[in-house]
Amino acid sequence: MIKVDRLGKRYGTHDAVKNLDFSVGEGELFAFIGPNGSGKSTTIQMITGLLKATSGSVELFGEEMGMDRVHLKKRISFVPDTPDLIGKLTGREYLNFISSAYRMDETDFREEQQKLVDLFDLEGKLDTLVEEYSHGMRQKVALIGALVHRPDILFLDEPTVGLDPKSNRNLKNYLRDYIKQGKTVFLTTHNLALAEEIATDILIIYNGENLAHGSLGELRSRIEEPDATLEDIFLKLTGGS
Amino acid sequence: MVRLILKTELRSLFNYWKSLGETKMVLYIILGLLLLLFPLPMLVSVIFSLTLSFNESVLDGYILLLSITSAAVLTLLSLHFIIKDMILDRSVQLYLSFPISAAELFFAKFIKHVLIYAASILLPLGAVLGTALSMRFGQWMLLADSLVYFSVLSIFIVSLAYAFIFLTANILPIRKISEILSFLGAISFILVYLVLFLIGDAFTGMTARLSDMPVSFSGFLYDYEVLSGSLAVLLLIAAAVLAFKAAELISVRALSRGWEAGGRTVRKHRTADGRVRHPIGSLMEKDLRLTTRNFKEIAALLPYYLMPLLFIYFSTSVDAGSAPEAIGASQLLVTAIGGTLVISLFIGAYNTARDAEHFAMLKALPLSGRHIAGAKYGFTLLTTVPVVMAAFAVVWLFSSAGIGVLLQLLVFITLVSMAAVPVGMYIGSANPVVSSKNPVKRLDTASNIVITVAIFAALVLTAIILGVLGDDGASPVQLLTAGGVLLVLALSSLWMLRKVGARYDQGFKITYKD
Repeated sequence: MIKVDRLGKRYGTHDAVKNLDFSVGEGELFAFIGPNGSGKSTTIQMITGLLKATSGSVELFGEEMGMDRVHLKKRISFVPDTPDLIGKLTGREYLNFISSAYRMDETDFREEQQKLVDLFDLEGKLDTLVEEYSHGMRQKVALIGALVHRPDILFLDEPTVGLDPKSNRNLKNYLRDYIKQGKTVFLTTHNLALAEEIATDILIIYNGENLAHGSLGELRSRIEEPDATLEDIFLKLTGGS
Repeated sequence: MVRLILKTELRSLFNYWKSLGETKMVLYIILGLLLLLFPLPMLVSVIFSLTLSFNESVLDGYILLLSITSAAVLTLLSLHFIIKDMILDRSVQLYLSFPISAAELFFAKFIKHVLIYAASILLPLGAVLGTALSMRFGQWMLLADSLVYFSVLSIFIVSLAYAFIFLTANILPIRKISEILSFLGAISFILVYLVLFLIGDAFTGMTARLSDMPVSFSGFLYDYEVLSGSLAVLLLIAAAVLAFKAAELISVRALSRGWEAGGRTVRKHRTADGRVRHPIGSLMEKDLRLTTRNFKEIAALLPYYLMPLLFIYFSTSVDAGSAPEAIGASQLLVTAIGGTLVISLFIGAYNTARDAEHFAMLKALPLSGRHIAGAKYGFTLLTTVPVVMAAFAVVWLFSSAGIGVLLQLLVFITLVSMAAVPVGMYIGSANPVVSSKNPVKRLDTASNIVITVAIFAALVLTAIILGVLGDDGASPVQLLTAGGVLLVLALSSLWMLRKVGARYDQGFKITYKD
């Protein structure tokens, strides 16, 4: 589904991402973790075609991804760490806009939207302007917009920030079910407990480079601590403790 | 604590100045010097000569007119900036998270706002007026009284602004108030011209009428008498204290209670649920909502919609001596072409540059640049052509032109807009600006220069064509040629639209400010 080949991004003389290589298969929940400024958001933007790479390539569904690849964008969704919603639209108008952009079937849209509105407890709250929402509410609307058309690959950058505990748990369960249906989730988070709980594959990026990659078990073996948590592994590998 | 807040505010102001960059600093200094060299001495000499020359019987009206005019302008100004400082900047919430009481914060901010937005203008005005009156009556106490009077007026203005802001904050969303004020600011230039025109025309009459009002400054601001002068000063000081206390009561209460949660209900905008449209229709609907739901957007566009009036005025003054009723066919056609060109260029550029704000979201959607540019083109045409048509149809009613000219007007307006909108979109997509402090400032300096040059070129061209055509109007051959050229331009500008679409695909070069 996702193939990243020697991907690099240089800003001036600074290499934000260096020779990144990995692939993510169907039905996987891929956790992409790293300290602040390690190149996570830059990488996710390059994979989703929002940022041009300096070197290397990204393939989605076997095709090279780029900013103008509309047919590929139709099969993916991206929720950035600070969702870019249009403040002067209501939540409902925003979702109508998204469904139109993805050319959804109206019946499917209504059904899916209702499910997600229930999941995130937004019933009766969609008719106010987005600019009047709290951060958590915006995050919920952004998540609904990303999930409503059921993309084959879902990119989530810090999706749980601002979410209340109930929505947090609901999202976690939803993502588990989602990958069981053969969909792929690419998750970037600082919430290591969440990544440990739901990820099938983990990559730790550090200073723009691939520091470690594998399942939780493989990462534990790498540091020779069979009972280590993902937090222990992360801190040990990144020199945090 | 009040001193600490004021020191922090001063430091923040100083840091802002330092962060401006050398070019802007030099520009501001030159602008300041120009103000000091030209308009300021002119204003001082006008006030001096009026104060010295007016008959004593109309002095009350004259001082009242000065007070009302300056108070109206400064109250609007204070409202705008106090909303920015106290509410939109969120520095108030930050201050209140420290061990600072709402009363201390109010006091410090009040002093700052009085000094910057009212006293900085009114005290020099008071000094000039007071000096002139002192010279006229040979009583130097008048200068002191004038300074007291204008200081109290400054306190009144800022108190009024505070009371208005914190009372309405519980009724209307403060963001909406700020938008409405920006809208008023944008149309204020028309009001200023209107007021200056009216006052210039009937200054003496207005002053005389105001003199009949039951307000007298005699014994206090002119023809000084110890008893009435002292009593007036005492009364004014008492009134200033009362105004301050009222503003303090309202503001501190609102600040302590948390004005944002002040019981106002969030407005609901009902929309059809689960409606899926064609992407182009959906993009156009999004643009329409962004425009109609924000007074700031309307305020930014309105001056350009009023531009044809300037063209009409300009063309009638070229043809000296002709009254508006005598506007002929040539004038109508040529001004319609010039006016439509300017509006279409600017609105095309502005609407396209607006997408920079949500470009990350647009890029993430499965929409081709062709779709987005097409929707923008359609939206801009729909919001430009009918408005210009309506404006010129009204002007046509007052002209001597026949129905045939009206039809020609409608065709020319459509063709010019079709040709110019893609060019405007191309300019707007070149290097759009996203500014968090001033969201409607969307075009970079280069784009603004290009558009300004285009406006002047259109004005000059209007004058030249009018000169060539003369009073006889355009001949059928000239009209057909012009129509043909415009049609070719309208069709060939679709090529420009494709270039704009390509820019949407490749990504805008966006400049982020503030």
